Amino acid sequence: MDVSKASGAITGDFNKDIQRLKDIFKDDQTVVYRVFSNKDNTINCCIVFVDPMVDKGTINEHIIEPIMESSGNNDEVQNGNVIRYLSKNVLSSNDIEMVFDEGQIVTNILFGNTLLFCEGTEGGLVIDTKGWKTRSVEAPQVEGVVRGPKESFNESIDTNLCLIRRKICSPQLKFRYRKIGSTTQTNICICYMENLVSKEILDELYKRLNSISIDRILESGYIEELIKDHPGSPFNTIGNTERPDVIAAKLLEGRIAIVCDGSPFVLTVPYLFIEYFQTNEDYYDNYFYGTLNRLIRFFSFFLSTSIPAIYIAILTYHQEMIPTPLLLSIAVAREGVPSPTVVEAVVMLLIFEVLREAGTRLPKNIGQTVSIIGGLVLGDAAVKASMVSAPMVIIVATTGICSFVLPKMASVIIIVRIIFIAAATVLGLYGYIFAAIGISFYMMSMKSFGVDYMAKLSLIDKDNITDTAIRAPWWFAEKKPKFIIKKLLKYKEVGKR
Amino acid sequence: MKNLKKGLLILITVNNIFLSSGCWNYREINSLGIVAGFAVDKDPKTNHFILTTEVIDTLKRGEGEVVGSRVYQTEGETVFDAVRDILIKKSEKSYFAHTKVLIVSKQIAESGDIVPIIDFINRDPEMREDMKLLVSHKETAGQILNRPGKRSDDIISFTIEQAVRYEKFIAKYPTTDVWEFIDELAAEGSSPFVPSIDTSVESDKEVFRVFGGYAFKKQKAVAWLNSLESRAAKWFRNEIKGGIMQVQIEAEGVKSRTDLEMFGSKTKIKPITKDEKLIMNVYVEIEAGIASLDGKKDNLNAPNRQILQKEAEQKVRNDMYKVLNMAQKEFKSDIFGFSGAVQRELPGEWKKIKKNWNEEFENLQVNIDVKVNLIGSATSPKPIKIGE
Repeated sequence: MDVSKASGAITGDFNKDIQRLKDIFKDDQTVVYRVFSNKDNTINCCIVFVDPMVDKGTINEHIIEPIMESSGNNDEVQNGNVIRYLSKNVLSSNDIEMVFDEGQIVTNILFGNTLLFCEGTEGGLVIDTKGWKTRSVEAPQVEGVVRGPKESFNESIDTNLCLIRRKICSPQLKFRYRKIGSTTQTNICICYMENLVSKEILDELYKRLNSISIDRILESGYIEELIKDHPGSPFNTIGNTERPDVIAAKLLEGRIAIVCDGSPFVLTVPYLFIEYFQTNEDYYDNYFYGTLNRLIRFFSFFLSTSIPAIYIAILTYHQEMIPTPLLLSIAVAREGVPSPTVVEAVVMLLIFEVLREAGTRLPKNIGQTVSIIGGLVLGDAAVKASMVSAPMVIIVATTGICSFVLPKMASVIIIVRIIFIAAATVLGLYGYIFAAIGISFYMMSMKSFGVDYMAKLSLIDKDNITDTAIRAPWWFAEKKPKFIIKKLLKYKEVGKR
Repeated sequence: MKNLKKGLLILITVNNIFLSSGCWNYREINSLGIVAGFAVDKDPKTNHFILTTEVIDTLKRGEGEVVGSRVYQTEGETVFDAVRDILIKKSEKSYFAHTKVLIVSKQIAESGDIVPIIDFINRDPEMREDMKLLVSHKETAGQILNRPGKRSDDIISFTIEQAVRYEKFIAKYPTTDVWEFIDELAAEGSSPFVPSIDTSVESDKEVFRVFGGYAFKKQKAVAWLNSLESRAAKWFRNEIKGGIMQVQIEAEGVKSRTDLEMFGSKTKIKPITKDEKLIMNVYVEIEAGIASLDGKKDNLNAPNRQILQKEAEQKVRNDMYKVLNMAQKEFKSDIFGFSGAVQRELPGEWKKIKKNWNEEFENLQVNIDVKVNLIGSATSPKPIKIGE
């Protein structure tokens, strides 16, 4: 307390204090300074707030009006405890805090709170008057479902925390705020279930968050990149989702969620490889259907990473492996195609990625053009003009469609695919297998916050398979509580990054 | 230092992948001349091999392209020499991994010159040992593939392979993959049995037909068996999987002809020794159904069925004895696998008779026991009634 006084925020010298604040917010015309007194002029006070950030009704009705109506004819005011009197008896606001530190005062004002200070009193009151506009809770844009809740996070941290809390009404669910970003002072909130979380992972998370020194956090992606294991890897070791139900499920499995103000994407740690393949809808639908869908996702991962590589390998090294009729039809299709199979594949895949990117960036109303140009011109005409062979178009199309099954894996799939293609080009199927083994080794060696990245995937037994390859029904799985994260953790591994 | 070690290790590993795996044969599919099949002849004057190769070719047909084939003829001192000479005529390197058939001429089969050809196929990494082996019944093997008026989109070798493969419905000729041929060459006592191929003119077009087979004595072809004889030989070899059998019976004074469709056949050869003498007991069990009646007689009722069954058994037995007689007296080659049965069942006895197996075979006493099970009459329980 002494220290904050020494930094000299609100001294009680009324004009000097106002001048000081005006110096801090120099040239910022959104900051409003309103000086007023109560009806018998015993209380002189000033409120400072940022005009666009506040709810003006609250200021008028719950700050200015009650103070103006109040009388200074009581002991507290006469003894000089004006601030205490105001916060106790006058101001009808739910969130009032006494603040001395200048930094805190400035942040609060910039965050939409109102600072109130009075003549002759040290320290000021910070009153919650935040009143900016936020987007309403809408249906998820990225992770749509057929069956399941249709709400998603938005950019406001308050709304997001509310959405999480509404899913889990338990005092065990803890929210801890913190600010990151030396300039942006972005609010983040760490959520976890006190009884399920692993303390080691929590400590490790705090340690990593503390080590962040960056001036801005504009999206949760910044945090993700700054604290993730294996920073150089295309594999995500931190998950993100825009769905409150997913976050609730992950919290209940012992994971930790990090909500970042300004981003509808909430992070979860630790993140395992299997989570790429788990979708919330698996758990809401019939478990046979859920299992089937999950197997399809695994299969698609294999197809979209491997098809081009295997095609190239077989076509250029192992022609004897192709059934004769297929070999003949491929040979006919490739007749007159000028480029080698590899070049053909790489160019077509590149064009596919360009089309995909164009589709994402384009305004929706001209998005049609992309599909026409991509499908018709590049696909059909290129084959007719013998620029590419028809089987290659099929290969690329299959690869592309399969990669859409796992939209979150896009970066992984592309890089793994390129590695496979390169290996298959140089060494055929042998090279492909070699690359696959190498990547398996790499993935097996990865960790996310001390948990094996490939945990639960290396063994196929009753314990492990219930939520990996298949989605076991709840009545089957309920016997085993799902505190998986705590169970999977290897304590001594925490902290290696 | 550690990094240097790591780097060196990676370098050595990668080097080994390249050097020891042999996996660097990158070729584009359209630079290959895919060989569908080939036929080998021998020029009696120069003693050179004449190779007739059917190579897959793509043809422009309207807007699209279709698969066809082209035939090349090359000559060389050895088969490999002739294979490489294809390059002179066709700019694409011939590719033999999808070759389906090998046809050798009668002369080669009879002179025993088939061995260097088979060895080449067996040794070459690209050639597959499961290509079908046939012996040409015509003058030359080349004219089967290189026949005049061949349509360019017709791939004869593939059609031949298909025909050989459908043997299981016909049972009139043997089928032999190259590896089977090699196995039988190597086996003690027994000899291979190879299908023969011929051409005939049908509606002004020359078409091939596979029928009958050549019985070999080791590497030399010694006799040609016609369809019926081939089938009988196949019964000994336990190779019958289907086929049709015509049986003529006489019941209640009326002669009638009935088709039996075989669904399966099992042959067991049991050698026994009796009074120091080797006797072969051959048990054949055939499952067959009545496939067609000629309407003269209802052969579906129980007594007639019995006659039918007996007659069928008799017919098979007669066929088998006939071909056995030929093998023992005329071409003197064990193509039935008797020696293999003796080796399996009576290895001690085999050691004794191994040296003079040829004479032993010629004088071998063989008992054939055939059992035909009639298991049905297809979709109709009655014969067609012909009204008065």
